[in-house]
Formats: sequence, structure tokens, C-alpha cells
Amino acid sequence: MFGYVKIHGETLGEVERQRYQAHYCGLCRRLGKDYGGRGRATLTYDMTFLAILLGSLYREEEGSGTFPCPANPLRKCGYIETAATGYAADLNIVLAWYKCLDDWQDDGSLTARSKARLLEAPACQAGERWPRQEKAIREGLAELSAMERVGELNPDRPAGCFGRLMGELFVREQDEFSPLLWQTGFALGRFIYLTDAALDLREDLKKERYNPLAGQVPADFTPMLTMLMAECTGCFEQLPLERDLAILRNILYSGVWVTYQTKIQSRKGAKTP
Amino acid sequence: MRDPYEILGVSRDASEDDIAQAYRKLAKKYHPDLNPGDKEAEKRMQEINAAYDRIKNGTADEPGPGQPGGNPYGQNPYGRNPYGYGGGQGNPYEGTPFEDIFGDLFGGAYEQQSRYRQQRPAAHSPSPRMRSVNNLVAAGRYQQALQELSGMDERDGEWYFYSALANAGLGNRVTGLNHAREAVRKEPGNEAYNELLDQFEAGSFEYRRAGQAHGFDMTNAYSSLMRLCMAQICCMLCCRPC
Repeated sequence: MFGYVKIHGETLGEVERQRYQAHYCGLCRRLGKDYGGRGRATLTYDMTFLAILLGSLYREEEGSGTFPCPANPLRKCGYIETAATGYAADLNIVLAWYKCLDDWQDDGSLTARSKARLLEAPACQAGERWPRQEKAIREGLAELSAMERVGELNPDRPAGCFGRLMGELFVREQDEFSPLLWQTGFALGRFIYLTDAALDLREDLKKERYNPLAGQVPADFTPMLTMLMAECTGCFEQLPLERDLAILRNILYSGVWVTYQTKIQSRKGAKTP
Repeated sequence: MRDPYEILGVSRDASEDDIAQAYRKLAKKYHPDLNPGDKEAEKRMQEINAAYDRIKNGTADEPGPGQPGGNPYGQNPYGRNPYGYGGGQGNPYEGTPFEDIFGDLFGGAYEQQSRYRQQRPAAHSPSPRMRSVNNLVAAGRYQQALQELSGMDERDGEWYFYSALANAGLGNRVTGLNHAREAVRKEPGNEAYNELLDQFEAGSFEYRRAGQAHGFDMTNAYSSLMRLCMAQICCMLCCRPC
């Protein structure tokens, strides 16, 4: 369910694109430093977004430099790192661990089990640093799988559950920004969850799997998803952001639609040969 | 209304898993996404959804909601305890910065910049049976408002209007939008209901406008969004006396 919150490269300026890449590499580097290769393998776009957002909001000091790219040792990556990068790395590990546990329980996937074993120690370590967030992830995902088990057909319930989880992650510490950060994450989380459901709907129906949008007839989800992003940006725009604002806006106004639109377009293309 | 167990083709003592399985088998056969343009399949799917809902929320043995054809959006989330969220809902952090109910419902960011945001849903004076629901919604006590609503049998336009408001307040976008549409469908001439539906969609319009202002021209890629916005513009041109 991860990977929707990314940039739309074509509409982002060269300078910003490089800065985004450096933030991404910064998160990768931090994961590697704190948790080794197994940590690095969990890298996501979504947590890169959170690292940029919080680093910008709290005007955190940036460290930067270069390091050899783990995926391509011949290349040197420029990286940017702030305190928020460490926070995002910790959450990334915890999320990845619970995701593996979930997959293992749901499908009995052995790969997921071995991954979960590898991530257990680092995830516990990270979870201890952020107990409120760890609890939100643990309880949120448990509540979600319970809803999936009983075939909940009101999509607002599981979406709200995932939204609240994201809301908690957006609040690193409680201060005057907490309400807006929570609300931004709450809307974005619901958007992510329902986008995922909308894109999987056809496949889930065919395979007789659970999908929270199965009961929605007629099934055009774009207006609803747009409303959620409107709600998300409605809160986001009230935050006093300056640094990297162009990147963050690119993601929220454009990038979040890339996967959705690509998939919808390819379906239409398939229908008319 | 036919027996929901019969519609799903399961016995009355079927387990939860069996019922879910039966539902998914039927959904595979009749869901409009797999049968584009097939009106008969769509009707069947709505029937199946309603039946599944009634079994799930324990109202299978009560007479169905007194509307022929059921809810056009397939889903009737009002069972015995449809809002039994585990844990808190809504923003748990104190000092939510929203001044008024509609700022809360539709996100307050565009307050200053947008002329669309200045239009509030037209004042609606509640009928006597809705007075207390109206007060709860105005006070931001959406959960309680929904509880009161779920105890009412008669589901007219006003009922859907308040349900849309309370659901939107809790972030239940899907149900909120469906019910706003349903309120208008039931009473197409009601100004307040139409304004509410507009408000739901105005946020999207503003989101797109802001996106374009920041340099993301999505005209070609986002045809479905475009249609929504065109509808919005038409509405503004035709329906607003200003």
C-alpha cells in the first residue's frame, strides 16, 4: 500500500528534482547507517515525503555530502539529512516490519516471514523510540485486518483507520502544529488506502478477495479521491512552510496521481485497441 | 424485499466466512466494473449489496428500508452499530484550528483566497424531528448525531442531508458524498441540499485550481477531474443568480 506519495518528475524543476533525490538518498543512507542493508531495503517514497515535510516545517539544520550508492557502487549520491530523516527512517522500519508480519499471517508467505525475522530487532529498537507511533501502527493495522476478515463494506471505516494511523505518524511531537499535521496525514492516509483499493478492485473481484470498494455502485472514484486530496492540501497549505515547498506541492497536487492515472489510462488503452 | 439469505444463496446458519465468500462469488459475476454498461447486472449488484449489509448488521429479519430498489449507491451503512469505530475518531489533538463547521468539513485553507469558500450551504431550518441532530452537528458532535440518525426509520432528503454533514465531519468521505447526492436526488429543488453537494465538490475545484496555479497543468491527464470541474463551472454559470 506504499509508494503513492512521490514526485511527478516532469513538472518539477531540475534544482528541486535534485534536492528531492538527495532527500531520498539521505533517507536511504540513514536506514543503512542505523539498520544496515536490511533496513535500506525498506526505503519508501512516502516516508521521504514525511522527512521533507517535517524538516521544512521545523526548519531543521541540514547535513549534506556524498556517499557511494548502494544500488550502483559506481555512482556517488548527494544526500541531505535532517533530524526528520532519522524519524522517517525509524517509522519506515516499524511500518515495514508490521507489513511483513501482516503478509505472513494473511498469505502464509515465507519470504514475508524471513523478512519479518530480519526486521524484528531493528523495528523493536525503533519502536521504543516512538512508542505512540508504534502503538498507532500496531493497533491500526490489527484493526484493519480485523475489518478485512469480516468483509467490511463501508469503505470509510478501513480508510478512516488507515488515515488515523497516518495522522499519528505525521505528528512527531505535540505542539501547535499537531492538529494540522494530524489532519493532513489523516486525509492523505485515507487517500492512499482508497487509491490502493480502487486500483486493485477489478483484480480483487476476479480473485474473490476482499476489497473495501466492492459495494460501491457505480464505481467512479476520482471525485471522491480528489475531495480527499483537497482536504489534505487544505490543511497542508496552512502550515508555515518555505523550504522545499515546491517539491511538497508537486507531490500533493500532481505526484500522488501518477500511479492512479497511469493505471487508469492503461486500462482505457487496453479497451480500445 | 426478498430474503437477504436467499439473495446471497446461503443458509441462515451460514458462518461469517461463508457469507463473505458467497458475496464475493456474486460480486465477481455481477459487479459493474466487470460488466460495463450492463444495467441488469448493476441492479443485481445493488440488491446483493443491500442483502449483504442487512445480514452483516443484523437487520436481515426486519422489513427492508421502505424504498423500492433500495439505496441507489448500493450500500446502506445504517445497521445496529455501524459507527462502532474502535478507538477515537476525529483529530485527537487539542486546538483544532477550524472555526466553524464548514471549515472543519471542507478544510479551511482556501478560506481567504477562494470566492467559492465564502458560500456556505444555505441556512436550513430543521424540521422538529431533526432539531436535536441539527444542534449536535453544529456543536461538532458528529458521532452522536449519527447515533440519533440511525435510530430514525424515515429516510427522507433531510435525513440524508444531516447524515452527509455528520459523516463529512468524521471524515467519512464516501458515505458523506453518497448521502449528499441522495439528499439532492430525493429533493432536487431543495436549495440547502444542492448547496451542500456543491460544497463537497467546491473543495475539489479549488484543489485543481491551486494545482494549476502551482504549475501542474493536469488538463489532459485528468479528464475525469476535468468533467467534474466543468460541471462545477456550468453550475456556477447557470444556477447562481449572482
